[in-house]
Amino acid sequence: MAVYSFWIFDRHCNCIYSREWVAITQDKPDHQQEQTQKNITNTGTINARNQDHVAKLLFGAIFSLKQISSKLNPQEETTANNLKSFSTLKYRCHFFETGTGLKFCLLTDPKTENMQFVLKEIYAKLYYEKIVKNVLSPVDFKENEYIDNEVFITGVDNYISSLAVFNN
Amino acid sequence: MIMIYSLYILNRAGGLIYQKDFNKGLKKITTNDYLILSGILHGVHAIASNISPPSAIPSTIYNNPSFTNTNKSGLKSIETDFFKMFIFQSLTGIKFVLITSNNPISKEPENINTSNPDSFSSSDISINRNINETESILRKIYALYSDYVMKNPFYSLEMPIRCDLFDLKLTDLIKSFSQP
Amino acid sequence: MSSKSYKSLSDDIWKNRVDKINSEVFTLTYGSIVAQLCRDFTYAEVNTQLEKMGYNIGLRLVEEFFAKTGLGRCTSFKDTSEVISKIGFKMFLNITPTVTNWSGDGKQFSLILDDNPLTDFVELPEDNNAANELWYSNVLCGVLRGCLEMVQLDCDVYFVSDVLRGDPITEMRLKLNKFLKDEVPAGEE
Repeated sequence: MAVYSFWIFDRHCNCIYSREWVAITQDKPDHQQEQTQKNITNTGTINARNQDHVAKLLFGAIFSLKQISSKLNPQEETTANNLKSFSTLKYRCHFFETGTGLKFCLLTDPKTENMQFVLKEIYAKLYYEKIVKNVLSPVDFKENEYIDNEVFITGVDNYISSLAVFNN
Repeated sequence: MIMIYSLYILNRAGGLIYQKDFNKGLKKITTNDYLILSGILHGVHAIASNISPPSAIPSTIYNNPSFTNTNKSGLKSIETDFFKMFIFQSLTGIKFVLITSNNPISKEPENINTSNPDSFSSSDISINRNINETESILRKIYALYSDYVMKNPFYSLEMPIRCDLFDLKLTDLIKSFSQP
Repeated sequence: MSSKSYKSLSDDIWKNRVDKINSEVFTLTYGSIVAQLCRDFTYAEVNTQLEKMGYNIGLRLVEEFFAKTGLGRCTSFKDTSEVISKIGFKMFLNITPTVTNWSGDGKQFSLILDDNPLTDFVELPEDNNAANELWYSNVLCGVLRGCLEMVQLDCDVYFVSDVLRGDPITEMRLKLNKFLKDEVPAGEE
């Protein structure tokens, strides 16, 4: 079970945070695996691909799928039909959107399910606590402005690596 | 037991050539809206292959290895609060899109509970569990398509499907899956 | 997929998953089509018409092939040749032609048909240059061309020799022109 990347988009359609983790190969001996698990914070890239076409494509895909889910909504207009995840054979993208238009995406392997609570936790415990409550950090990001709050970044890394479902 | 709401068939260019609702459950929208929807799906299906993480390894969620021989990196499934959508693309580029209920069939709107991470709403129940089931349904639909649509000499390829026999056989097939 | 597993897959499909038709009805139907075409057109035009008919059949038949076999994309042209001869022909005509005469670059090969259900009881007319111009089973060339085009392989398929014409063997040649990369559906690799 692996987690590949984590993205946050704001209501202005900009990518304000991206975190990619490098997959650890499966053939390391066990004791080395343990070490690399704890070193997840040293692997991968942070905010390296926010302007990349991947970020824009991901946003576009999510935007379009939200349109589909709202069009086919069986319930009355008052209860929205929210997109939860979409997957291909290679990955699954878990999605969560807040009332303020903040979109959280987590790309994992397709076997992983039910990551909604993870995204909600990240929003409630990490984003809210570290970004919103921090008066010195912006909440309305301008274009090309990213989240570079150290506490938030390490918080997310530690939270993800602590999840029992991942051995990445 | 999942309930099948509807089936869409898209041609190689992404145009909608067949749309049928089997059970009530989704909002009724205009034909134009269906066409737009299928265009969106075709587009997102293609985009999904470009977002693949570079280190992604192909999945093992399908029990049957022949289920992974087409559509390796395009969109396969979507999950929302009220339905799940599964996409099967044949090697010839025809897409079959099946929309099913979440299981068990939820009648009330989901309560989004932000404080308690352990309270899964009923629709969180495994999408992987019915992925094999729906894939085999889609393959059976593909077999019906290859028989009753392809072999109808008056059907022009890539055009909207208006074959009564296909409708009939499809309804029978879906009914047989809805029997508990 | 190995050669042996193709054979067992195709045997299984032929036994259980395809509907069968009386072979005489099949031969007679095809024969009457060719005979009528010969009355209406010259032999060269008949060849073209048969190939065109086969092409339209192939475009549609390929879906049944994939629906019944559940196979994926072939990994090489060699693999394609195995699948065509061991599964394709077996499934639809219950014959297994031999694959031979590979060209140096691996882009051309021949299919030798030992027996051909289309030509049971058929004799070409002695007059009228039939033996020199008509390819009786040309529909098969069209079918193969149509099927391969639907999986993005642009091929030329033609007869080289035919026992009906007095040749020792019936041989079809397949030549791969190019792989149509632009038309591969999104999501395939």
